[in-house]
Amino acid sequence: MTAMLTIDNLRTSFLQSGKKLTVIEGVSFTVEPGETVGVVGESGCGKSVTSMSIMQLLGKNVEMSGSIRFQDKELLTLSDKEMQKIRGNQIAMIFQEPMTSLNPLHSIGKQISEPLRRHLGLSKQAAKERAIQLLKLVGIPRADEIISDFPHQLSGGMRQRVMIAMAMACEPKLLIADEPTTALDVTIQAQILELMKKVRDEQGTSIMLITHDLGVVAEMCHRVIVMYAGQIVEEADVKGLFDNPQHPYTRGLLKSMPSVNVNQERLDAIPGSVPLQSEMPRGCRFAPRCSQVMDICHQKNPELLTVSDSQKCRCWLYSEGEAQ
Amino acid sequence: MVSYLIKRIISLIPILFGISVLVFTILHLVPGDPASIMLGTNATPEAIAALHKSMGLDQPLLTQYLHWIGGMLKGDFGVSVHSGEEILPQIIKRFSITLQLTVFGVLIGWVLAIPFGILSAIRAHSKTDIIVRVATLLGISVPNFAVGTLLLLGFSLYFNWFPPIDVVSFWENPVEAFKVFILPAVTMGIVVAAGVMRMTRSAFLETMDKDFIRTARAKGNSQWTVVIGHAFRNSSIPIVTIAGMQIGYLLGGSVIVEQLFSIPGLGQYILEGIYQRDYPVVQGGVLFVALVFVLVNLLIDLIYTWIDPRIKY
Repeated sequence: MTAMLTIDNLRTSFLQSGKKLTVIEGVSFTVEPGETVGVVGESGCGKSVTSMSIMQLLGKNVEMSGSIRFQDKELLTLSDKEMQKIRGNQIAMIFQEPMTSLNPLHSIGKQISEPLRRHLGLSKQAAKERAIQLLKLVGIPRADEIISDFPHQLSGGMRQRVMIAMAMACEPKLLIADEPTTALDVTIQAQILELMKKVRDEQGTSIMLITHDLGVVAEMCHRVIVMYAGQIVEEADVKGLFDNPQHPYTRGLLKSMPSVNVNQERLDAIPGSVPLQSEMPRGCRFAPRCSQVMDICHQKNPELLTVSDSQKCRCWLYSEGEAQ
Repeated sequence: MVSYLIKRIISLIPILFGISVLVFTILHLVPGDPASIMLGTNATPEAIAALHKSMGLDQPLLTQYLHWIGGMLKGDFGVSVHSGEEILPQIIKRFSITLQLTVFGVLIGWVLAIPFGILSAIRAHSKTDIIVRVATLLGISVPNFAVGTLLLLGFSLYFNWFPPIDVVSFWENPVEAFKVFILPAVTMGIVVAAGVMRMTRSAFLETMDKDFIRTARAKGNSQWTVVIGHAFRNSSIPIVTIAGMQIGYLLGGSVIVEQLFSIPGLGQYILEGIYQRDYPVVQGGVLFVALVFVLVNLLIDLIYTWIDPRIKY
């Protein structure tokens, strides 16, 4: 079976006033059909840029190289027109801010109908009926009334449901969810995650879930990719990640999560912050913040190596053999 | 909505009252009066006094004001002290000419400004953007009498073409009217375009950065649909605001353009009234212009509710 999404050695750079800033460097991973892959990391580690690279929504001053294969199509070589046929149709996206991600001047019905009319060529009436069905699917009561409402008349949770209905309209094969629950109340978060699971299981959609919340990862994902400073530092199935984290950064992330079982005085935060793209350290990018740093870490950036059947890690701790 | 409309219309009363007092006072403070201007510099004081008496100008100011405003309340604008003509029919006739000139001029302005404003915004900092912005800056900085004069000179010198002298309206003879109004309308349009174009550019720049535009793109919409279907309406409030102010202002008669192209519009009528100290003409004219300005703004406020469902009165 071919993978739903295969990213190979993706490199995304922004061109700013003559300078080239590489934000994503050598990212490779796959998303299998029906699989949910989590992408985690701190703000500024390149999660969102990766997703926007897949959608090719980064605008003009961007240079991308490597390969993004969606089923058997290479997205990086597609024209704008061809890419438009894929966006919202085969690959759909949900964003973090439901409050601002809907057009304030268009009715809910119009916004959900738009991809249906555009990609499936439905008539106005047929699209409206389908939109009502979709609203019911995402658990919105009185769907036939809500359809003529405007976004400002709905709560944040309802708006995120509308966003999901909109994204699922054309039954996409891949759904990219960029922090879909971050802006919501905790109770609503749980509902939205349940809803995404339900939709995923009904339609067999693959999901790439971007989040900084490891709780969400545990709840939703099969496999996890940990990103740091534009690179993948660890890749693992969800069990491996929580039971046996390899990379010091992943361990740091897990330690900085509050736990009920362990009586902690204070959380272990990772000191410092993600380095700026223009001030990337020469060796391992995490070295300046790492608690297990060695000499070699400051000299050479390690490769992403397979450490077990289901786990890969980018750290000198596991590749001392090759270091010499 | 209805109660809002009623409130707005009631609020017209103090506005118009204030303007009536202001224009009356200023006009009577200006040195010179209609009698001395009509009779010339050689008139005897007795003759002037006699004319004053017949015009009612010998009465105390308050009496004169009450007399005038009383007539206005009954819809009686009075007669011109200079020509003896009824004022209201004159205002309406001249306003219709000003209205045609304004609509024509504003349309030219928008047709120039809005597409280029959008283009300039979506290609911000490109060569196109720079060219459009320089052109706008020129449009704002060159005064419209200069533009008008250059147009008039250019067409007469190089094409040997002059606008017709007789002013006809569009519903009488559209072709002839087009010839009459095209140069003044272009002159007006250039100034209008400069303002609208700047506003369009900045409004679109702001809108194109919004999250929902990203959503619109993520849905697979073409650039055209994103710009026209999603960004346009979201950017139109500031554009409509500036357009409304310009229309309200221009409907008062753009004196310079009307004077330059000898178009007998409202602005020219009021200007002549001022020269001749024709009190009732100026007072009636200014009050009428104020009413139009306020009504245009009310209309703009109503258009807001149609553009944006979040705006409720």
